Amino acid sequence: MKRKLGNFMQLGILTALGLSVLLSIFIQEISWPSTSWERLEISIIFREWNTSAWGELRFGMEKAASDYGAELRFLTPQESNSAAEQQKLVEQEVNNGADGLVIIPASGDVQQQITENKLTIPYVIMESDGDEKTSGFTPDSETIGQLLAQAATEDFPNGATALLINPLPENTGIQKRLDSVQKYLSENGFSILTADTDNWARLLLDADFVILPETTSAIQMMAFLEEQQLDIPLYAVGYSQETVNGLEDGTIRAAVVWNGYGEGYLAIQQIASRLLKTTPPESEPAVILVRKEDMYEPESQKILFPIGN
Amino acid sequence: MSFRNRIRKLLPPYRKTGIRVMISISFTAVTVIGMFLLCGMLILRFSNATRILQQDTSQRMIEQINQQMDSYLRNIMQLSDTIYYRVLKDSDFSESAPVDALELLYEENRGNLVSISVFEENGSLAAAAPVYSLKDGVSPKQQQWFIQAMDQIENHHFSTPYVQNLFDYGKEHPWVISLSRYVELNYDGETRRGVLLIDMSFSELGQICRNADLPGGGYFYITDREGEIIYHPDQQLIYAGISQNNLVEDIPETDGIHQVQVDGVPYQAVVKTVGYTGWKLISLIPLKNLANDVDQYRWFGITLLLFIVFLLAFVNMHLSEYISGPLSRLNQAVNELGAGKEDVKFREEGCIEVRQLTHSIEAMVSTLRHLMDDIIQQEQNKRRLEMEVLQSQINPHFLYNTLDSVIWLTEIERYQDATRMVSALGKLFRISLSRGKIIIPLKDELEHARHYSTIQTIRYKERFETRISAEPDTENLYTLKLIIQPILENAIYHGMAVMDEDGLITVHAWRDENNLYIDVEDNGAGMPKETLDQLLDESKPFRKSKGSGIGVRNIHQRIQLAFGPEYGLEFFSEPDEGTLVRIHLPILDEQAAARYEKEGGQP
Repeated sequence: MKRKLGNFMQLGILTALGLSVLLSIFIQEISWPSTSWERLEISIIFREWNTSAWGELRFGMEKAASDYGAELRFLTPQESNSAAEQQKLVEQEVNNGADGLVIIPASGDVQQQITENKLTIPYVIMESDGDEKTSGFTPDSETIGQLLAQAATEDFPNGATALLINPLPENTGIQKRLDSVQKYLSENGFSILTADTDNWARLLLDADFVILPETTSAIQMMAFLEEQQLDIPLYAVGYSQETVNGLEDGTIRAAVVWNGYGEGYLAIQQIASRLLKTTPPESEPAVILVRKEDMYEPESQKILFPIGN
Repeated sequence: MSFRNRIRKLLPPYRKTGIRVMISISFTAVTVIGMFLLCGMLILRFSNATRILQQDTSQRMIEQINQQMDSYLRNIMQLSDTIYYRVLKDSDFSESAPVDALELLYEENRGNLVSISVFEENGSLAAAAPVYSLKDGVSPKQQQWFIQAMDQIENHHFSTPYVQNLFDYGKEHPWVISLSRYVELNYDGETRRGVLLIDMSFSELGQICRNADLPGGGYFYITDREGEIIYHPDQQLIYAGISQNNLVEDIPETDGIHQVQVDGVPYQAVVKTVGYTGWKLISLIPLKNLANDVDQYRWFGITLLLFIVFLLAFVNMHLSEYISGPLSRLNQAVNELGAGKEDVKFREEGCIEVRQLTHSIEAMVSTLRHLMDDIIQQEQNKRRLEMEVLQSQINPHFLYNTLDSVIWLTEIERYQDATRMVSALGKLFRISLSRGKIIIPLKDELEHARHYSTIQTIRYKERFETRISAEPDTENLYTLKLIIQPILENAIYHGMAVMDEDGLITVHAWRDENNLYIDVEDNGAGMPKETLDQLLDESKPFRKSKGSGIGVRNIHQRIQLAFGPEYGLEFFSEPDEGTLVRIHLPILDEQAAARYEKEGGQP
């Protein structure tokens, strides 16, 4: 009996020691996982692709992906700004098991599709004024519009005719920017002309200046003006090499810019933080109105010219 | 209480502890303590070594970057010296600007440079490569690098990164770090003040820094004397207004290793000043990550320790079992042997010493058994001899009396009775001999009694009658030899001697299950209870009685010696009523009788 008790005790001690070995290995495995965590798969669906306009955004996203261990898939509709194609791409990526989604919607329909379908994966809709969780970092549309209108008001203190071109009438974020511009200018006695991609050329000569609420349309407009050798002041939104050149040669009188690199970084950071259940550090990226005179000011340089590291 | 006594009190009562537990506990305790000390020392040494290694790595990395940076900057400074002393000093700007020489030097350092330019005191461009004119509206004179060069003429001045906008680089807007210095320009013998500006490509400088790979998730950055960032791995994010917290708020002024707080998190900072520029290289490694490595070593050590302890405990337990198990089983076998168990088996196992001990004990037990068997045999032989002696006691007394009676019968010419007596005596002796057997058939024993009774009836002149009978189921049974005759003898001498002619003795054999009973009953004088009680009481002195000399106590002893204490004689008697002596025997058939004869012991 005594011997049996002794055997049980020995067995108990051995079991306890064996378990403690396993426990210590388990603790190490938890604290310092030997294998790298599963990479997050995040899909980014652009509404169009323009290296100059979206290049910095992409670099920022890639930097965040590197910091958070994510793998990015960049997708663009074959037809620029095609809402239908974007909707298909959203479905396709969700079905393919993407962990997160960043979308720059071509229209409100795409945004509506995402919000109504209540995606179970985290997503960020850029160029929109959604809630904090889904809007990523795109400056408030009303603020952008207001800054543009203020710049125009300063340049035309006695009022003038403004042409507001909306290249994406169905994009709610962009429409809001123009609404804000229109409101401000109207209050200050400006005449407002509105146009879309089909009729802006007809109204161009009637305008004293043009308001362009997004980057690609500004690039196209500069190219058009150069080709037509027209000198109509432009007020643009967003960073691109062409925007900088436009500012420098005076084609663009003022531009509301923010750092595309930072915008891209924050979009991925927001999704990765939600997937990893961490709290991202609070950031308040700067949004500035730049004119030719102050584009080489230190603070403007930092936002306007990518340092490239 | 002395120290030794206290220690003893604390220790387990080792005298009561088994060898297995003793070996297990002591071996395990010694190895565990040893391993704890060893692993503890190793962990401490490894932790310190890791910490030192990390610091060394960090410092070496910073030193390396510093050297590269210093070398790079010195090259640029040497270039500025070359430009100044070999080109500008030898040039007469009133005749022509040394653009070719500047272009040549630019081409030689193309990878590192964006542009080389020389400005007059009023800010106008004197010479430049590979650019030739200033942008409209720019004013070099108002720029910081220009002001510093003119203010501190003996120094080289390095700027923080900025986008160079003096010249038109087409669609490019290069980030540069500028070296500016005061120069004197020769205008036809007239010395004019000026500024030499060398724009270094920021991306080249960044390339030097990007190659550094600090351990423990660390990073490093460079600031100027005022804390303005020259290089940071997240520079773009910082410029975008993100990751502002990746910087040390109060950079330690002295070079070396410091502990700093970055965004409330403790970091190990290594600070190194880049020679001439006063720039500070700051490497930051989160202390948590450094501690992580140490913690990993510590946990690895703990796991290793636990595993070794587990292994040692396992080995110790098996070793102690290997040593003590055979001893324990040997002890158990010896105990069983001591308790009287006969078929105790000894297993020769374990170490050679224990095997030898087991073998010796087994040999000793075997010898003991043989000795015991010999003793038992001797005892049995002794008992047999005793019985034979007891049986042989019948002969002289009875023979004398019988022969005396035969003589007497012959003298009185009762030849027929004498013949009957001699015949009975002959048969009596024949049965008595029974070829030396101890166990004889019951019918022979009854026949023996009959012959004896015949002799005694003649001797006592027919004063009593003897009736001998047996139940049919007792026919083939066996009994101890010569047990009825002495009882008959007693019945005659003590019961019939006083009778006239109506004495009756009955001998009746009967069976009850596994018991054989032979009742010898007389109607003689009987005996009082006191006498009855003393008959078989061995504590009472043996009373010599008339007759063959073999008392009933002898019969009783013989039966019990032969068959066990549950058998023997029983007496029932009443004074003047007679006496019944009941002989109680086991049932013995022919085989049992033969086995008894062969073994000489109990059937």
